[in-house]
Amino acid sequence: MDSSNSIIDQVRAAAASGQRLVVRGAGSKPWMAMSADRGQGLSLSSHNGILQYDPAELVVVVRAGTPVMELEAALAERGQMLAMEVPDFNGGSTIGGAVALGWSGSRSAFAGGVRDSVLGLRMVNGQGDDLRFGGQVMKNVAGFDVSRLMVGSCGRLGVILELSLKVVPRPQQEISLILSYPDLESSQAAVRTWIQQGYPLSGASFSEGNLRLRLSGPGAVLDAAAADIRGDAEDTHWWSALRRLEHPLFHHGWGDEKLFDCNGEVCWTAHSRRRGDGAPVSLASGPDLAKAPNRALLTRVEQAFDPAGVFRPAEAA
Amino acid sequence: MTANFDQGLDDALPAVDRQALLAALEDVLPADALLTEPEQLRPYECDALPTVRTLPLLTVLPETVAEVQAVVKTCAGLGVPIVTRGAGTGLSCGATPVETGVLLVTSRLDAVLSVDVEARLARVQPGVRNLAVSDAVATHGLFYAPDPSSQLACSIGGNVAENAGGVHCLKYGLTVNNVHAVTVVTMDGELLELSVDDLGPDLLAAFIGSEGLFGIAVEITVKLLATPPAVETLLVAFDRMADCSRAVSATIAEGIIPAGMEMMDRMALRAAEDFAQAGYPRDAAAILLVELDGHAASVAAEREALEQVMRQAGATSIRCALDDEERALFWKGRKSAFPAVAKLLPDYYCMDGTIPRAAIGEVLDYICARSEVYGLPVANVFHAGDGNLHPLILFDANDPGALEKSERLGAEILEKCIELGGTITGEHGVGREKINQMAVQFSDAELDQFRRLKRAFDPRGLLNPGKTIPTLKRCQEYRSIVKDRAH
Ligand SMILES: Cc1cc2nc3c(=O)[nH]c(=O)nc-3n(C[C@H](O)[C@H](O)[C@H](O)COP(=O)(O)OP(=O)(O)OC[C@H]3O[C@@H](n4cnc5c(N)ncnc54)[C@H](O)[C@@H]3O)c2cc1C
Repeated sequence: MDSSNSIIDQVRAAAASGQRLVVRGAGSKPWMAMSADRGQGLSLSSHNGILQYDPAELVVVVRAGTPVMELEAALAERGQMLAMEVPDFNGGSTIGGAVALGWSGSRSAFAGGVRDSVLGLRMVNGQGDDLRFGGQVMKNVAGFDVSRLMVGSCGRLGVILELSLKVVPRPQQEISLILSYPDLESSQAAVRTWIQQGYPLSGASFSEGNLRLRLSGPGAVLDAAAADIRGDAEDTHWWSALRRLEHPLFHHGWGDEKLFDCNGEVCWTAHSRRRGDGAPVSLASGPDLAKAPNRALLTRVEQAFDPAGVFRPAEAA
Repeated sequence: MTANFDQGLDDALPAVDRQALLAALEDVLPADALLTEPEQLRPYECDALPTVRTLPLLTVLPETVAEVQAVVKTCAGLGVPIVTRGAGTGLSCGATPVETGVLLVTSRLDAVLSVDVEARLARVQPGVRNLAVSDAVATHGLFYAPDPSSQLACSIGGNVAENAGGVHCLKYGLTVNNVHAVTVVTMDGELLELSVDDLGPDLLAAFIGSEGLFGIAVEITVKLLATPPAVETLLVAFDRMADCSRAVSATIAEGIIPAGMEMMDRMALRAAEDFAQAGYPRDAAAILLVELDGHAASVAAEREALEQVMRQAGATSIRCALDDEERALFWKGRKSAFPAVAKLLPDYYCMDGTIPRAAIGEVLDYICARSEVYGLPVANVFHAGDGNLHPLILFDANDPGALEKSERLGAEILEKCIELGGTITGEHGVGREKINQMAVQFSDAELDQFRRLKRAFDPRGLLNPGKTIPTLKRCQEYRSIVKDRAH
């Protein structure tokens, strides 16, 4: 269903009356429950559906409120998948919410993350302007790259209405292997040698002395890789559980135990997620953009998109 | 209406006191880093699109980041515009100087600072040449993926500013997908660190492709990839252009994503063959150069599938490079195609529109028809896999009106790309050259959003003024011309 006119009207009305809005997809993220006291909710869940999809163009255009799972099922029917892997909270996340959060899943270390998949978008800024940036083609450098700027913006710069996303052929097969290593560093070194061999890795995570590998590709290559790597085969469900944050770590907590994903680039604890040198993000309260680096520049960027502060969280007002 | 700077249509440049500026810069730079005489400034008057030329007020060649900051602070204090220049291989007049501004050239900032083999990252200065990065890390079995055809000469700083692509970006992405962090000197002379790991909106991605309007990149951390263990390069010939176009979409539809997929039409392939003796079949209507890489077993499977797709699409011959030497020769032809075509007539104008793959055949027919109407030959050599066209319009600027005709034909081609759901530029950027077409591709509200984003980075508009984003006035003027043309 197309709710773009009503969404644009709501933003315009809020800008005119000085009201604050909190953009919500399906509200699937754990910290979304507490967002209600930060402003009037602006729900995108009824703004959904695939707008354009031609497999030979390797791109899909989709409304932001479309559930990730629904989109992935439609792509799978044509033997394709999203180039990015995004977390799926409780099986309900919307694609717009996933891009606004910008968390890239296990495959990102080998095949690129959310920012690498976004080719274009339609959005409403804080003035209620209906804007389109980027497009449906792989390469587009006309004007500044607002589409990718929106990745990780957490609803702060505007409402994403539609997304053009890169898609890729589905791998013919997928396997998961488990091996033990004394520490993260030694497991990372091993993974590097397999990357150098050209094995089609799509996941490398380390926790509790176990290195788990996921490989995706043609059967012949997976056979060669498995014979060389020599781990124990395991069900690939482990990876979808991690993706849905259904790993036991998130339910019971493991004390101070850490789970490293993306060959060490991402570090999960029972309560937080951290990427590279970035600050840890609490799973209870979500990303706190007040803690973002380059805060002064970011404030000017926020004002450039949302001069009236429609999307500014109440506590930052 | 040309893209040339026009007092009445573009924002006026600030008046500058040259003597005061010179005195202030002499305080912060060694004498040999400051060029002031017309004969010293002449080599910097244009980039690789030489139809637009302007002498800068002064040129500076800083050797350290501290010198860059000192120059910027001096200019900011005196309200002097700055245009940054890398190697000057840009094709959209992005580094063309402005009359009352300083041209800051990064050529002396040319060190590879460090290579982290384990993290597969290299820290480099902006003036490092693109190919020098891959050369510096080759012994570790690594390479830097974005490979513009100008890679022998162009700088990493210029690549970041243009979000440059290359012949392998179908599989490996553009510059934005291969940069981990950038250190920027902003127009207040301060340092800004942007990284993919930063929380919040992706400011790093927004900086990449900002064409020198947001800041000066002074250090770039690029991602490196493992050299693929197996590579196959196929040279596929067709005796009909339409078959060749169809083969591109058919390959993708088959689930094959080659590392690169380049197309050349007859005029381009003959010129390249005469120039480089690459072994191209001179009688073909068009050729595809397709590269597959990865694990040997997957490359072998893909090659078999690819050959079948090509034969079904009507390929008349398929040759696979027998060794690295022949592979290098196949690519040499492609990478020297621009200079090779340039030998046919005194001048050429290179376009950069991108369209959905399915429209390649249609747009090539359109270009062919318009080329006849204008009486200007057009050669096509381009990144077919991602629909990024590079029609080369050939002309002789000494013929009265030929330059204007080439620009009009170029504008029509770009506007056709927009109509087909594409864009006016896939990798060369807008600069000054495509400033008019921005008014066709974007609405006033979108352009206004660009202007406000620019001011967030550079509130006084001193960095690369007049480039990339047209004024409201220019837009209104150009749109009315386009409308009249349609009537
Ligand atoms: C024969 C030929 C083939 C080409 N093939 C390709 C190709 O395949 N793919 C492709 O993408 N391009 C191609 N190009 C275009 C060109 O090489 C690229 O745009 C390249 O990235 C420009 O780099 P440069 O160092 O020459 O930049 P310049 O031309 O010097 O500058 C380009 C822009 O970058 C800005 N800039 C430069 N350095 C910095 C910095 N440190 N910080 C901030 N801004 C900066 C300038 O202000 C300007 O706006 C080709 C050009 C030629 C002549």
